[in-house]
Amino acid sequence: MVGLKLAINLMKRKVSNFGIVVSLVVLIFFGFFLSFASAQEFDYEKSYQDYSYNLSLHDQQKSIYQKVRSEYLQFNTLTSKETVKNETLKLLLLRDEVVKTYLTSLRMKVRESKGLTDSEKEGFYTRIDQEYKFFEDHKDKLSSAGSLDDLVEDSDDAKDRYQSTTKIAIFYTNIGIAFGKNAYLREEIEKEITSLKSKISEIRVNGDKDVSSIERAIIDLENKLSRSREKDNLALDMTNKIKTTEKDKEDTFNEALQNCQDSFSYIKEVNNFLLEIIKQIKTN
Amino acid sequence: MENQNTTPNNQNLNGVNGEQNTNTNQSTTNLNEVKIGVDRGQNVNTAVDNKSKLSLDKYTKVFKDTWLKLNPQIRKVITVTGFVFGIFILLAIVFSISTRPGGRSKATPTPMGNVNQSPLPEIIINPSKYATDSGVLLVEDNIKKIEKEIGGTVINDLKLSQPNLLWDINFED
Repeated sequence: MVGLKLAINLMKRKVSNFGIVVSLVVLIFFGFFLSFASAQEFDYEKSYQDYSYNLSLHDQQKSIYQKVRSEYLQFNTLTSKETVKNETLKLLLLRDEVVKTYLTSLRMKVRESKGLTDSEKEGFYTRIDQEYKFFEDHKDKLSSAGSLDDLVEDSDDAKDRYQSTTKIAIFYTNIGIAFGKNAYLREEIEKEITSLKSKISEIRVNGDKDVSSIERAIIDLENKLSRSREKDNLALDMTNKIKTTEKDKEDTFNEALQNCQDSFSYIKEVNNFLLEIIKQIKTN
Repeated sequence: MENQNTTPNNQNLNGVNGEQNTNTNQSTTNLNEVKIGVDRGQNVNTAVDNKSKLSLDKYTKVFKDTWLKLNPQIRKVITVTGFVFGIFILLAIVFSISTRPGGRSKATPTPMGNVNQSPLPEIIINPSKYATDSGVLLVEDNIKKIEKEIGGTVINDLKLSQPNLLWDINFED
């Protein structure tokens, strides 16, 4: 009898030891798997997927809100009031989330931009982060709203913030991203112009080909690149100077964007002309 | 006349046949030697196979013995660990394939109207001595690369346009 008890105890201990070992192994591998999964980098594409998903949820909730709102206005019952309050809260939460994920998406785009310097990127991050913080705090505050009026007031707070400063941050960052694209291409072209200029000097020293027209063309191309840079700087400056009270923020943004487009056209023109110059060098 | 004429021919033929027979015999001998050689080779191969089989059996036996000598609990732990590890490896593979850029989840349809044409070789009429200059060719190559990058650049990226959100929340008619 004592032997049997001992055997049972031993078995129990062995089984429990076995269970502990298995649990540990499972935990270790689960940890390994989680770390592997989290190592998948969060990039612009992923942030954009998050934003698109939240935007689609917002659009669905918008339809629900519009439906329950009209029912509330029509019947004005306690039930419809409670329903409209719940659905409005859901909509406001989603709206804040859309703004947050959109700002994150812009931030990731800036981070991946090859033509912006680290200090330029920091400038954009500061503006984006300030707006992100507002909508994060606003979202946390929403659930404490006790009535429909509170919700309307909270919604107006977010609306005012978005229309005044968030929009400026969005426009400024968008122009910054376009600026970065142009700056990167310009930098690449300038590197090739430098190489080409040293080759042209070599040809001039050899004296076996007249390169005077090519040299003049290169100066012209450098001027075009300067104009492109000026257009980009102007665009950034325009959006940087948008005032919070300004009503035509979109117009200023569109004008700034047009400057970036013009700058890009100059870049395209310069690159095409460089190919023509190469052709000239290669023929007698 | 015909016989007389045919006899020497037959003799000749015999002669030829005789030489052929000898040659055939010789070649048969050679073939036999080759065959023996092949047989020997096969024997050697079989011996090697047997040897490797034996060593494999030996290792299998040693593994089996070691496995059976182990405590059954430890055997269970090893089996479960192996199983769990296998599942995690499989999950990791599936996860990495599904999230890899260009992987299955990100498959994009091939555009039908955008068939890549093989570039026509550039013909330079009246080439200068710099037509084959490595420095010039390098710059040309780099400029063509920039041209491609320009082609893929969109300044007004509509994906980044601000979201269309419902800002007017009110409960008045």
